[in-house]
Amino acid sequence: MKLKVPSMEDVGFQMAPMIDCVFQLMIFFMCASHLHQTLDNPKIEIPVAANASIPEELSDRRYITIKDDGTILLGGNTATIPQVKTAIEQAAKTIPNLKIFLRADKRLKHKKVREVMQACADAGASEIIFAAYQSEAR
Amino acid sequence: MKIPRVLEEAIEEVQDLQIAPLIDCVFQLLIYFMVAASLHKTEADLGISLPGTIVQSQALKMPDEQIVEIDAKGNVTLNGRTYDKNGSQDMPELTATLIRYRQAAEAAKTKALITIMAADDTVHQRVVDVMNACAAAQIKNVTFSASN
Repeated sequence: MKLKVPSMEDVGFQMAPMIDCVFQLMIFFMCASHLHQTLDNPKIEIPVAANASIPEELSDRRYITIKDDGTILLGGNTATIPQVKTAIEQAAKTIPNLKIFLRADKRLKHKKVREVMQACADAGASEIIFAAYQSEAR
Repeated sequence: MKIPRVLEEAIEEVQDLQIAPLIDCVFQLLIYFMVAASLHKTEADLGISLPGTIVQSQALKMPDEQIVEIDAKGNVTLNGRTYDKNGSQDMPELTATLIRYRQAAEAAKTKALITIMAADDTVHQRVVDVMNACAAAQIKNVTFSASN
């Protein structure tokens, strides 16, 4: 029986699929880096807690950020305690299982955290979750 | 009119897509975005949900409540004893005590409840350390004192 030996030309390096893969990877990392910019704005130092868990469900959350100088940020805008209370009250009307995700700087004094928690509790927020990194090292 | 062969080859060379510099650029971009993306750390939940703050003297009628006090220097006190004086973030002494407390509460079929009473000037990281110890001890019912 005569076997057909493939020609050596077939062994050549295929550029097209490699470029496809590289473009796919590039799009993925472009999207990932964009998310990074969105989450890190404004820049604060989140505390570290090894037993914190990565959440699976992110719905029904409202984010409150407190910088180390005590500035409260609600939806990217600076807010006062009464404004926070009003915003949470309004959100609680539309979201029954409202969760407050508190992103407080690790150097922040507890007094400010307590004031915000008090405002949330007064506004009827049922759950408060603290943001934390699982480890210090990147 | 016939185009000279040399000119034909030159035109072909110009029209061909130059793959090598394209791949160079793409790899540079890929490396840039890989590095940028790897800087991102995912923010996690501490695993403790608060029902809100309450004034202790009014609504809290839990027989198995324990109050963890944190002073401005970060010293953590439970039942008159100061834990983890070395300031370690893991708080192994407090965690061990809280585990025993949870087990005792489970045996007595009551809820284990921790109230954190932190001073005004306590840094947030120290409060999170105590909450982390509660999470390590699998205590879910954690609340804060409304006054220091």
